[in-house]
Amino acid sequence: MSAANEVRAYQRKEYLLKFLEQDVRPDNRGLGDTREAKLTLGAISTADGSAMVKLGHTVAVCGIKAEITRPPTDKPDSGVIIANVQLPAMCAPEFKSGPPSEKAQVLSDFVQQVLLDTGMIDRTQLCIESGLHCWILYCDVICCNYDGNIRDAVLLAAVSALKDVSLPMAQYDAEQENLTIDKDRKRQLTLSCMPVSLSFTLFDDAVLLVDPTHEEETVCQGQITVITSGGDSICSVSKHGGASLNPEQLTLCISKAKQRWCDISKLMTSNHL
Amino acid sequence: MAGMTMLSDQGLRMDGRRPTELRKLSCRLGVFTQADGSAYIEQGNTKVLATVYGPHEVTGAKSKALHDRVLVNCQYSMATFSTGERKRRPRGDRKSIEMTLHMQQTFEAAILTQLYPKSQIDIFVEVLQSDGGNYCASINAATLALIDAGIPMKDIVCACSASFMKETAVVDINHLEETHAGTEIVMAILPKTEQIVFLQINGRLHEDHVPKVIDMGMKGCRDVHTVLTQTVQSHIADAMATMGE
Repeated sequence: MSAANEVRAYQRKEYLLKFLEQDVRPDNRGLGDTREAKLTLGAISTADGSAMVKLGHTVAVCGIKAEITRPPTDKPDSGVIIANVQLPAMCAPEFKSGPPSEKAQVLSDFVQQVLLDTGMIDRTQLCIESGLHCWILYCDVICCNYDGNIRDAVLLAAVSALKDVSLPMAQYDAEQENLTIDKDRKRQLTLSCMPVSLSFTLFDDAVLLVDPTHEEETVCQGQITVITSGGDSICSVSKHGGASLNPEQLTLCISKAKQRWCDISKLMTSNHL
Repeated sequence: MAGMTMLSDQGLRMDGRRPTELRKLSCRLGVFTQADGSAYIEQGNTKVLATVYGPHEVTGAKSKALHDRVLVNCQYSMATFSTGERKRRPRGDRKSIEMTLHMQQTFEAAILTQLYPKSQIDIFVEVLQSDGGNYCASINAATLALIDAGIPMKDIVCACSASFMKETAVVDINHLEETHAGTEIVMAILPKTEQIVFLQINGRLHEDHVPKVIDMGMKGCRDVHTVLTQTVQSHIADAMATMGE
Protein backbone atom coordinates (compact mmCIF):
# COMPACT_ATOMS: atom_id res chain seq x y z
CA MET A 1 0.00 0.00 0.00
CA SER A 2 1.37 3.41 -0.92
CA ALA A 3 1.90 6.03 1.80
CA ALA A 4 -1.01 8.15 0.55
CA ASN A 5 -3.38 5.18 0.58
CA GLU A 6 -2.22 4.27 4.06
CA VAL A 7 -3.11 7.73 5.35
CA ARG A 8 -6.40 7.48 3.48
CA ALA A 9 -7.26 4.17 5.17
CA TYR A 10 -6.06 4.78 8.72
CA GLN A 11 -5.98 8.56 9.26
CA ARG A 12 -9.06 9.61 7.37
CA LYS A 13 -9.42 12.97 9.04
CA GLU A 14 -5.80 13.96 8.41
CA TYR A 15 -6.17 12.81 4.83
CA LEU A 16 -9.16 15.09 4.22
CA LEU A 17 -7.47 17.96 6.09
CA LYS A 18 -4.47 17.82 3.73
CA PHE A 19 -6.82 18.48 0.83
CA LEU A 20 -8.96 21.10 2.55
CA GLU A 21 -5.84 23.12 3.41
CA GLN A 22 -5.41 23.53 -0.35
CA ASP A 23 -9.11 24.45 -0.80
CA VAL A 24 -9.78 21.28 -2.76
CA ARG A 25 -11.45 17.94 -2.01
CA PRO A 26 -10.15 14.40 -2.59
CA ASP A 27 -12.27 13.99 -5.72
CA ASN A 28 -10.84 17.20 -7.22
CA ARG A 29 -13.87 19.38 -6.43
CA GLY A 30 -13.81 22.84 -4.88
CA LEU A 31 -15.41 23.15 -1.44
CA GLY A 32 -18.62 24.57 -2.89
CA ASP A 33 -18.94 22.31 -5.94
CA THR A 34 -21.63 19.66 -6.22
CA ARG A 35 -21.09 16.39 -8.05
CA GLU A 36 -22.56 15.89 -11.49
CA ALA A 37 -26.17 14.73 -11.34
CA LYS A 38 -27.56 12.36 -13.97
CA LEU A 39 -31.19 11.47 -14.40
CA THR A 40 -32.90 8.75 -16.43
CA LEU A 41 -36.69 8.67 -16.53
CA GLY A 42 -38.96 5.75 -17.35
CA ALA A 43 -36.26 3.08 -17.61
CA ILE A 44 -38.39 0.45 -15.86
CA SER A 45 -41.40 -0.52 -17.93
CA THR A 46 -43.05 -2.69 -15.26
CA ALA A 47 -43.42 0.37 -13.01
CA ASP A 48 -46.03 3.10 -13.53
CA GLY A 49 -43.31 5.68 -13.14
CA SER A 50 -39.58 5.32 -12.60
CA ALA A 51 -36.36 7.26 -12.34
CA MET A 52 -32.70 6.50 -11.87
CA VAL A 53 -30.51 9.14 -10.26
CA LYS A 54 -26.74 9.26 -10.21
CA LEU A 55 -25.10 11.78 -7.93
CA GLY A 56 -21.44 11.22 -8.54
CA HIS A 57 -21.11 7.56 -7.58
CA THR A 58 -24.29 7.45 -5.48
CA VAL A 59 -27.02 5.63 -7.39
CA ALA A 60 -30.70 5.47 -6.43
CA VAL A 61 -33.53 3.89 -8.41
CA CYS A 62 -37.17 4.75 -7.73
CA GLY A 63 -40.11 2.81 -9.13
CA ILE A 64 -43.71 3.74 -8.52
CA LYS A 65 -46.50 1.19 -8.59
CA ALA A 66 -50.13 2.31 -8.54
CA GLU A 67 -52.88 0.20 -7.03
CA ILE A 68 -56.54 0.75 -6.25
CA THR A 69 -57.56 1.10 -2.63
CA ARG A 70 -60.24 2.64 -0.43
CA PRO A 71 -59.60 6.33 0.45
CA PRO A 72 -58.69 7.14 4.06
CA THR A 73 -61.82 7.75 6.15
CA ASP A 74 -60.77 11.24 7.23
CA LYS A 75 -60.06 12.28 3.64
CA PRO A 76 -62.55 10.51 1.37
CA ASP A 77 -61.60 12.66 -1.65
CA SER A 78 -57.92 11.97 -1.47
CA GLY A 79 -55.52 9.28 -2.67
CA VAL A 80 -52.58 7.82 -0.81
CA ILE A 81 -48.83 8.08 -1.35
CA ILE A 82 -46.43 5.80 0.49
CA ALA A 83 -42.69 6.33 0.25
CA ASN A 84 -40.22 3.64 1.19
CA VAL A 85 -36.44 3.75 0.98
CA GLN A 86 -34.29 0.65 1.01
CA LEU A 87 -30.60 0.52 1.80
CA PRO A 88 -29.91 -3.10 0.87
CA ALA A 89 -26.69 -4.88 1.77
CA MET A 90 -25.56 -4.56 -1.85
CA CYS A 91 -25.09 -0.78 -1.71
CA ALA A 92 -22.12 -0.53 0.69
CA PRO A 93 -19.96 -2.91 2.72
CA GLU A 94 -21.18 -1.56 6.09
CA PHE A 95 -24.85 -2.29 5.46
CA LYS A 96 -26.14 -5.62 6.67
CA SER A 97 -28.96 -7.65 5.20
CA GLY A 98 -32.05 -8.05 7.33
CA PRO A 99 -34.93 -5.81 8.36
CA PRO A 100 -34.72 -2.10 7.36
CA SER A 101 -32.02 -0.27 9.31
CA GLU A 102 -32.69 2.84 11.38
CA LYS A 103 -31.08 4.91 8.68
CA ALA A 104 -33.38 3.49 6.00
CA GLN A 105 -36.45 4.14 8.12
CA VAL A 106 -35.40 7.74 8.79
CA LEU A 107 -34.86 8.23 5.05
CA SER A 108 -38.29 6.74 4.24
CA ASP A 109 -39.89 9.15 6.67
CA PHE A 110 -37.91 12.06 5.23
CA VAL A 111 -39.09 11.36 1.67
CA GLN A 112 -42.66 10.77 2.81
CA GLN A 113 -42.71 14.06 4.72
CA VAL A 114 -41.32 16.05 1.82
CA LEU A 115 -43.75 14.56 -0.70
CA LEU A 116 -46.74 15.30 1.53
CA ASP A 117 -45.79 18.49 3.41
CA THR A 118 -44.59 20.52 0.44
CA GLY A 119 -47.98 20.07 -1.17
CA MET A 120 -46.21 19.21 -4.44
CA ILE A 121 -48.98 16.83 -5.35
CA ASP A 122 -52.67 17.50 -4.91
CA ARG A 123 -53.87 14.11 -3.71
CA THR A 124 -57.44 14.69 -4.83
CA GLN A 125 -56.29 13.88 -8.37
CA LEU A 126 -55.69 10.32 -7.15
CA CYS A 127 -59.31 9.94 -6.13
CA ILE A 128 -61.57 7.93 -8.44
CA GLU A 129 -64.85 7.89 -6.50
CA SER A 130 -65.19 9.74 -3.22
CA GLY A 131 -65.11 7.41 -0.24
CA LEU A 132 -64.95 4.28 -2.43
CA HIS A 133 -61.96 4.04 -4.73
CA CYS A 134 -58.68 5.87 -5.05
CA TRP A 135 -55.15 5.26 -6.27
CA ILE A 136 -52.39 4.39 -3.87
CA LEU A 137 -48.90 5.17 -5.12
CA TYR A 138 -46.09 3.09 -3.66
CA CYS A 139 -42.83 4.96 -4.20
CA ASP A 140 -40.06 2.46 -3.56
CA VAL A 141 -36.54 3.83 -3.72
CA ILE A 142 -33.60 1.43 -3.78
CA CYS A 143 -30.10 2.67 -3.17
CA CYS A 144 -27.76 0.67 -5.43
CA ASN A 145 -24.47 2.33 -4.57
CA TYR A 146 -23.96 4.39 -1.44
CA ASP A 147 -21.36 7.12 -1.82
CA GLY A 148 -22.67 9.83 0.46
CA ASN A 149 -25.44 12.42 0.30
CA ILE A 150 -28.10 9.75 -0.01
CA ARG A 151 -30.85 12.19 1.02
CA ASP A 152 -30.52 14.33 -2.08
CA ALA A 153 -30.32 11.26 -4.29
CA VAL A 154 -33.41 9.49 -2.92
CA LEU A 155 -35.52 12.64 -2.87
CA LEU A 156 -34.57 13.51 -6.44
CA ALA A 157 -35.34 9.94 -7.50
CA ALA A 158 -38.75 9.99 -5.81
CA VAL A 159 -39.74 13.41 -7.16
CA SER A 160 -38.64 12.66 -10.72
CA ALA A 161 -40.37 9.27 -10.66
CA LEU A 162 -43.59 11.01 -9.60
CA LYS A 163 -43.12 13.34 -12.54
CA ASP A 164 -42.85 10.30 -14.79
CA VAL A 165 -45.99 8.55 -13.46
CA SER A 166 -48.72 7.83 -15.97
CA LEU A 167 -51.89 6.35 -14.51
CA PRO A 168 -54.43 4.38 -16.51
CA MET A 169 -57.84 6.05 -16.80
CA ALA A 170 -60.26 4.70 -14.21
CA GLN A 171 -64.01 5.21 -14.24
CA TYR A 172 -66.59 4.25 -11.67
CA ASP A 173 -70.13 3.44 -12.71
CA ALA A 174 -72.29 4.17 -9.66
CA GLU A 175 -75.39 2.42 -11.04
CA GLN A 176 -73.64 -0.81 -11.88
CA GLU A 177 -71.22 -0.40 -8.97
CA ASN A 178 -68.48 -1.26 -11.37
CA LEU A 179 -64.95 0.09 -11.66
CA THR A 180 -63.37 -0.01 -15.13
CA ILE A 181 -59.73 0.64 -15.82
CA ASP A 182 -58.65 1.57 -19.31
CA LYS A 183 -54.97 0.64 -19.59
CA ASP A 184 -54.64 2.09 -23.10
CA ARG A 185 -55.52 5.61 -22.03
CA LYS A 186 -53.15 7.15 -19.55
CA ARG A 187 -52.81 10.46 -17.79
CA GLN A 188 -49.92 12.21 -16.09
CA LEU A 189 -50.04 13.71 -12.62
CA THR A 190 -50.09 17.46 -12.12
CA LEU A 191 -47.36 18.54 -9.75
CA SER A 192 -47.64 22.01 -8.28
CA CYS A 193 -43.96 22.36 -7.48
CA MET A 194 -40.74 20.42 -7.51
CA PRO A 195 -38.88 20.19 -4.19
CA VAL A 196 -35.13 19.82 -4.62
CA SER A 197 -32.81 19.34 -1.69
CA LEU A 198 -29.17 20.17 -1.20
CA SER A 199 -27.19 18.76 1.71
CA PHE A 200 -24.04 19.96 3.40
CA THR A 201 -21.78 18.73 6.14
CA LEU A 202 -19.31 20.46 8.42
CA PHE A 203 -15.66 19.60 8.83
CA ASP A 204 -14.12 20.58 12.17
CA ASP A 205 -16.99 22.94 13.06
CA ALA A 206 -15.83 25.37 10.42
CA VAL A 207 -15.55 24.20 6.82
CA LEU A 208 -18.80 23.75 4.96
CA LEU A 209 -18.73 20.92 2.41
CA VAL A 210 -21.52 20.68 -0.13
CA ASP A 211 -22.78 17.33 -1.49
CA PRO A 212 -20.38 15.22 0.63
CA THR A 213 -19.09 11.83 -0.46
CA HIS A 214 -19.25 8.83 1.85
CA GLU A 215 -15.59 9.25 2.72
CA GLU A 216 -16.17 12.86 3.76
CA GLU A 217 -19.35 12.06 5.70
CA THR A 218 -17.53 9.58 7.93
CA VAL A 219 -15.12 12.22 9.27
CA CYS A 220 -17.44 15.24 9.28
CA GLN A 221 -20.14 16.17 11.77
CA GLY A 222 -23.67 17.32 11.26
CA GLN A 223 -25.92 17.37 8.29
CA ILE A 224 -27.62 20.44 6.88
CA THR A 225 -30.37 19.96 4.31
CA VAL A 226 -32.13 22.82 2.56
CA ILE A 227 -35.13 22.05 0.36
CA THR A 228 -36.30 24.66 -2.11
CA SER A 229 -39.08 24.56 -4.65
CA GLY A 230 -38.14 27.26 -7.12
CA GLY A 231 -38.17 31.05 -6.92
CA ASP A 232 -37.72 32.27 -3.37
CA SER A 233 -39.69 29.55 -1.63
CA ILE A 234 -37.95 27.36 0.87
CA CYS A 235 -39.74 24.16 1.85
CA SER A 236 -37.57 23.02 4.67
CA VAL A 237 -34.28 23.65 6.41
CA SER A 238 -32.89 21.09 8.77
CA LYS A 239 -29.66 20.76 10.66
CA HIS A 240 -28.86 17.65 12.62
CA GLY A 241 -25.88 16.48 14.58
CA GLY A 242 -22.80 17.68 16.41
CA ALA A 243 -21.24 20.68 14.73
CA SER A 244 -22.68 24.18 15.06
CA LEU A 245 -23.48 26.50 12.21
CA ASN A 246 -23.33 30.29 12.10
CA PRO A 247 -26.01 32.42 10.39
CA GLU A 248 -23.73 33.47 7.52
CA GLN A 249 -23.11 29.83 6.68
CA LEU A 250 -26.82 29.19 6.71
CA THR A 251 -27.43 32.04 4.28
CA LEU A 252 -24.77 30.56 2.02
CA CYS A 253 -26.46 27.15 2.22
CA ILE A 254 -29.79 28.64 1.19
CA SER A 255 -28.37 30.55 -1.77
CA LYS A 256 -26.56 27.42 -2.94
CA ALA A 257 -29.77 25.41 -2.59
CA LYS A 258 -31.60 27.91 -4.79
CA GLN A 259 -28.89 27.60 -7.42
CA ARG A 260 -29.19 23.80 -7.15
CA TRP A 261 -32.90 24.00 -7.87
CA CYS A 262 -32.21 25.84 -11.13
CA ASP A 263 -29.62 23.24 -12.19
CA ILE A 264 -31.88 20.29 -11.41
CA SER A 265 -34.84 21.97 -13.05
CA LYS A 266 -32.81 22.32 -16.26
CA LEU A 267 -31.77 18.68 -16.02
CA MET A 268 -35.41 17.61 -15.72
CA THR A 269 -36.68 19.62 -18.67
CA SER A 270 -33.88 18.30 -20.86
CA ASN A 271 -34.95 14.78 -19.86
CA HIS A 272 -38.58 15.37 -20.63
CA LEU A 273 -38.01 16.49 -24.21
CA MET B 1 -54.88 -18.80 -23.79
CA ALA B 2 -57.29 -18.89 -26.69
CA GLY B 3 -56.32 -17.22 -29.93
CA MET B 4 -52.68 -17.01 -29.01
CA THR B 5 -50.16 -19.06 -30.92
CA MET B 6 -46.90 -19.72 -29.15
CA LEU B 7 -45.22 -20.59 -32.44
CA SER B 8 -46.56 -19.32 -35.78
CA ASP B 9 -46.78 -21.48 -38.92
CA GLN B 10 -43.73 -19.62 -40.19
CA GLY B 11 -41.84 -20.86 -37.12
CA LEU B 12 -41.69 -17.49 -35.37
CA ARG B 13 -42.39 -16.95 -31.68
CA MET B 14 -44.71 -14.38 -30.11
CA ASP B 15 -42.02 -11.72 -29.91
CA GLY B 16 -40.83 -12.48 -33.46
CA ARG B 17 -37.80 -14.54 -32.51
CA ARG B 18 -36.81 -17.83 -34.15
CA PRO B 19 -36.75 -20.90 -31.86
CA THR B 20 -32.95 -20.82 -31.52
CA GLU B 21 -32.66 -17.08 -31.01
CA LEU B 22 -31.76 -15.46 -27.68
CA ARG B 23 -33.26 -12.18 -26.55
CA LYS B 24 -30.98 -9.16 -26.85
CA LEU B 25 -28.33 -9.56 -24.21
CA SER B 26 -26.37 -6.54 -23.09
CA CYS B 27 -24.19 -6.30 -20.02
CA ARG B 28 -21.70 -4.07 -18.25
CA LEU B 29 -19.06 -4.72 -15.64
CA GLY B 30 -17.86 -2.50 -12.82
CA VAL B 31 -20.93 -0.28 -12.59
CA PHE B 32 -20.57 0.57 -8.88
CA THR B 33 -17.71 1.81 -6.73
CA GLN B 34 -18.59 0.56 -3.25
CA ALA B 35 -18.76 -3.13 -4.12
CA ASP B 36 -15.67 -5.22 -4.89
CA GLY B 37 -17.35 -6.36 -8.08
CA SER B 38 -20.55 -5.36 -9.82
CA ALA B 39 -22.40 -5.96 -13.06
CA TYR B 40 -25.61 -5.00 -14.81
CA ILE B 41 -27.33 -7.19 -17.35
CA GLU B 42 -30.31 -6.75 -19.64
CA GLN B 43 -31.72 -9.92 -21.13
CA GLY B 44 -34.60 -8.71 -23.25
CA ASN B 45 -36.82 -6.84 -20.80
CA THR B 46 -35.32 -8.52 -17.75
CA LYS B 47 -32.93 -6.17 -15.97
CA VAL B 48 -30.69 -7.38 -13.16
CA LEU B 49 -27.99 -5.83 -10.98
CA ALA B 50 -25.42 -7.92 -9.16
CA THR B 51 -22.76 -6.93 -6.64
CA VAL B 52 -20.07 -8.99 -4.96
CA TYR B 53 -18.23 -8.30 -1.71
CA GLY B 54 -15.29 -10.29 -0.51
CA PRO B 55 -13.58 -12.54 0.20
CA HIS B 56 -13.74 -11.04 3.69
CA GLU B 57 -14.01 -12.12 7.30
CA VAL B 58 -17.20 -14.01 8.14
CA THR B 59 -19.88 -11.55 9.27
CA GLY B 60 -22.21 -12.32 12.15
CA ALA B 61 -21.82 -15.66 13.89
CA LYS B 62 -18.25 -16.89 13.55
CA SER B 63 -19.54 -20.46 13.78
CA LYS B 64 -20.75 -20.11 10.18
CA ALA B 65 -17.13 -20.10 8.98
CA LEU B 66 -16.03 -23.24 7.15
CA HIS B 67 -12.56 -24.53 7.96
CA ASP B 68 -11.78 -25.92 4.50
CA ARG B 69 -13.55 -23.59 2.05
CA VAL B 70 -15.14 -20.19 1.63
CA LEU B 71 -18.70 -19.46 2.72
CA VAL B 72 -20.73 -18.32 -0.30
CA ASN B 73 -23.52 -16.06 0.89
CA CYS B 74 -26.15 -15.14 -1.71
CA GLN B 75 -29.15 -12.89 -1.59
CA TYR B 76 -31.69 -12.78 -4.37
CA SER B 77 -34.05 -9.85 -4.21
CA MET B 78 -36.75 -8.56 -6.54
CA ALA B 79 -37.65 -4.87 -6.50
CA THR B 80 -41.28 -4.27 -5.52
CA PHE B 81 -41.83 -2.55 -8.87
CA SER B 82 -40.19 -5.25 -10.99
CA THR B 83 -43.30 -7.32 -11.67
CA GLY B 84 -46.72 -6.63 -13.18
CA GLU B 85 -48.40 -6.79 -9.81
CA ARG B 86 -46.57 -5.00 -6.99
CA LYS B 87 -44.47 -7.40 -4.90
CA ARG B 88 -45.16 -7.11 -1.18
CA ARG B 89 -41.78 -8.39 -0.05
CA PRO B 90 -38.61 -7.89 -2.07
CA ARG B 91 -36.86 -10.80 -0.32
CA GLY B 92 -37.62 -13.41 2.28
CA ASP B 93 -40.59 -14.97 0.49
CA ARG B 94 -40.36 -18.65 -0.46
CA LYS B 95 -39.57 -18.04 -4.12
CA SER B 96 -36.70 -15.70 -3.27
CA ILE B 97 -35.33 -18.08 -0.68
CA GLU B 98 -35.42 -20.91 -3.22
CA MET B 99 -33.64 -18.73 -5.80
CA THR B 100 -31.05 -17.72 -3.19
CA LEU B 101 -30.33 -21.35 -2.36
CA HIS B 102 -30.05 -22.37 -6.00
CA MET B 103 -27.65 -19.53 -6.71
CA GLN B 104 -25.55 -20.46 -3.73
CA GLN B 105 -25.32 -24.08 -4.85
CA THR B 106 -24.48 -23.06 -8.40
CA PHE B 107 -21.64 -20.77 -7.35
CA GLU B 108 -20.28 -23.17 -4.76
CA ALA B 109 -19.75 -25.51 -7.70
CA ALA B 110 -18.03 -22.86 -9.80
CA ILE B 111 -15.89 -20.80 -7.39
CA LEU B 112 -12.55 -22.28 -6.31
CA THR B 113 -13.84 -22.36 -2.74
CA GLN B 114 -10.85 -24.15 -1.23
CA LEU B 115 -8.65 -21.07 -1.82
CA TYR B 116 -10.28 -18.99 0.93
CA PRO B 117 -10.98 -21.12 3.99
CA LYS B 118 -12.72 -19.40 6.95
CA SER B 119 -13.75 -16.46 4.72
CA GLN B 120 -16.96 -15.29 3.14
CA ILE B 121 -18.02 -14.07 -0.31
CA ASP B 122 -21.29 -12.15 -0.60
CA ILE B 123 -23.26 -12.16 -3.84
CA PHE B 124 -26.22 -9.77 -3.93
CA VAL B 125 -28.63 -9.80 -6.84
CA GLU B 126 -31.40 -7.28 -7.40
CA VAL B 127 -33.97 -7.81 -10.16
CA LEU B 128 -35.12 -4.36 -11.27
CA GLN B 129 -37.45 -5.46 -14.03
CA SER B 130 -38.65 -8.96 -14.59
CA ASP B 131 -39.77 -10.52 -17.87
CA GLY B 132 -38.98 -14.17 -17.45
CA GLY B 133 -35.62 -15.89 -17.09
CA ASN B 134 -34.90 -14.13 -13.79
CA TYR B 135 -32.77 -16.99 -12.54
CA CYS B 136 -30.70 -17.11 -15.73
CA ALA B 137 -30.16 -13.34 -15.81
CA SER B 138 -29.23 -13.37 -12.12
CA ILE B 139 -26.65 -16.12 -12.61
CA ASN B 140 -25.17 -14.37 -15.63
CA ALA B 141 -25.01 -11.03 -13.80
CA ALA B 142 -23.49 -12.62 -10.68
CA THR B 143 -20.83 -14.39 -12.79
CA LEU B 144 -19.80 -11.07 -14.31
CA ALA B 145 -19.73 -9.43 -10.88
CA LEU B 146 -17.52 -12.26 -9.57
CA ILE B 147 -15.17 -11.77 -12.52
CA ASP B 148 -15.12 -8.03 -11.82
CA ALA B 149 -14.25 -8.78 -8.18
CA GLY B 150 -11.40 -11.01 -9.38
CA ILE B 151 -12.60 -14.15 -7.62
CA PRO B 152 -11.10 -17.32 -9.13
CA MET B 153 -13.62 -19.62 -10.76
CA LYS B 154 -13.38 -22.88 -12.69
CA ASP B 155 -15.10 -21.25 -15.65
CA ILE B 156 -17.61 -18.54 -16.55
CA VAL B 157 -20.97 -19.91 -15.37
CA CYS B 158 -23.61 -19.36 -18.06
CA ALA B 159 -27.31 -19.89 -17.55
CA CYS B 160 -30.16 -20.13 -20.04
CA SER B 161 -33.74 -21.35 -20.15
CA ALA B 162 -35.52 -23.42 -22.79
CA SER B 163 -38.97 -24.76 -23.46
CA PHE B 164 -40.84 -27.09 -25.77
CA MET B 165 -43.79 -25.96 -27.85
CA LYS B 166 -45.44 -27.36 -30.99
CA GLU B 167 -42.89 -30.20 -31.21
CA THR B 168 -40.09 -27.63 -31.26
CA ALA B 169 -37.49 -26.80 -28.64
CA VAL B 170 -37.15 -23.05 -28.06
CA VAL B 171 -34.46 -21.17 -26.19
CA ASP B 172 -34.46 -18.26 -23.65
CA ILE B 173 -38.18 -17.95 -22.98
CA ASN B 174 -39.81 -14.71 -21.84
CA HIS B 175 -42.50 -14.25 -19.21
CA LEU B 176 -45.40 -14.82 -21.57
CA GLU B 177 -43.90 -18.07 -22.85
CA GLU B 178 -43.03 -19.11 -19.31
CA THR B 179 -46.65 -18.81 -18.24
CA HIS B 180 -48.23 -20.38 -21.32
CA ALA B 181 -45.83 -23.02 -22.60
CA GLY B 182 -46.38 -25.33 -19.64
CA THR B 183 -42.86 -26.60 -19.42
CA GLU B 184 -39.65 -24.79 -18.67
CA ILE B 185 -36.12 -25.97 -18.21
CA VAL B 186 -33.52 -23.80 -16.54
CA MET B 187 -29.88 -24.73 -16.68
CA ALA B 188 -26.46 -23.38 -15.83
CA ILE B 189 -23.31 -24.84 -17.33
CA LEU B 190 -19.54 -24.49 -17.22
CA PRO B 191 -19.02 -24.11 -20.99
CA LYS B 192 -15.38 -25.16 -21.25
CA THR B 193 -15.97 -28.62 -19.84
CA GLU B 194 -19.66 -28.72 -20.83
CA GLN B 195 -20.55 -29.61 -17.25
CA ILE B 196 -24.05 -28.92 -16.02
CA VAL B 197 -23.97 -27.24 -12.61
CA PHE B 198 -27.70 -26.57 -12.34
CA LEU B 199 -30.69 -28.07 -14.08
CA GLN B 200 -34.35 -27.83 -13.33
CA ILE B 201 -37.32 -28.97 -15.38
CA ASN B 202 -40.67 -27.52 -14.40
CA GLY B 203 -43.87 -28.88 -15.90
CA ARG B 204 -44.66 -31.96 -17.96
CA LEU B 205 -42.35 -33.00 -20.75
CA HIS B 206 -42.25 -36.32 -22.58
CA GLU B 207 -39.16 -38.36 -21.87
CA ASP B 208 -38.26 -38.52 -25.56
CA HIS B 209 -38.16 -34.73 -25.82
CA VAL B 210 -35.92 -34.15 -22.80
CA PRO B 211 -32.58 -34.51 -24.67
CA LYS B 212 -33.77 -32.13 -27.41
CA VAL B 213 -34.70 -29.44 -24.90
CA ILE B 214 -31.51 -29.91 -22.90
CA ASP B 215 -29.48 -29.64 -26.12
CA MET B 216 -31.31 -26.40 -26.89
CA GLY B 217 -30.59 -25.11 -23.38
CA MET B 218 -26.90 -26.02 -23.79
CA LYS B 219 -26.80 -24.16 -27.09
CA GLY B 220 -28.38 -21.13 -25.39
CA CYS B 221 -25.78 -21.26 -22.62
CA ARG B 222 -22.96 -21.38 -25.17
CA ASP B 223 -24.43 -18.34 -26.95
CA VAL B 224 -24.66 -16.52 -23.64
CA HIS B 225 -21.03 -17.51 -23.02
CA THR B 226 -19.97 -15.83 -26.27
CA VAL B 227 -21.61 -12.55 -25.23
CA LEU B 228 -20.25 -12.67 -21.67
CA THR B 229 -16.72 -13.41 -22.87
CA GLN B 230 -16.88 -10.50 -25.31
CA THR B 231 -18.05 -8.18 -22.53
CA VAL B 232 -15.29 -9.26 -20.18
CA GLN B 233 -12.65 -8.91 -22.89
CA SER B 234 -13.74 -5.43 -23.92
CA HIS B 235 -13.98 -4.40 -20.25
CA ILE B 236 -10.42 -5.56 -19.64
CA ALA B 237 -9.21 -3.87 -22.83
CA ASP B 238 -10.79 -0.59 -21.62
CA ALA B 239 -9.23 -0.97 -18.18
CA MET B 240 -5.81 -1.63 -19.73
CA ALA B 241 -6.17 1.43 -21.95
CA THR B 242 -6.89 3.70 -18.97
CA MET B 243 -3.98 2.18 -17.06
CA GLY B 244 -1.67 2.99 -19.93
CA GLU B 245 -2.63 6.66 -19.92
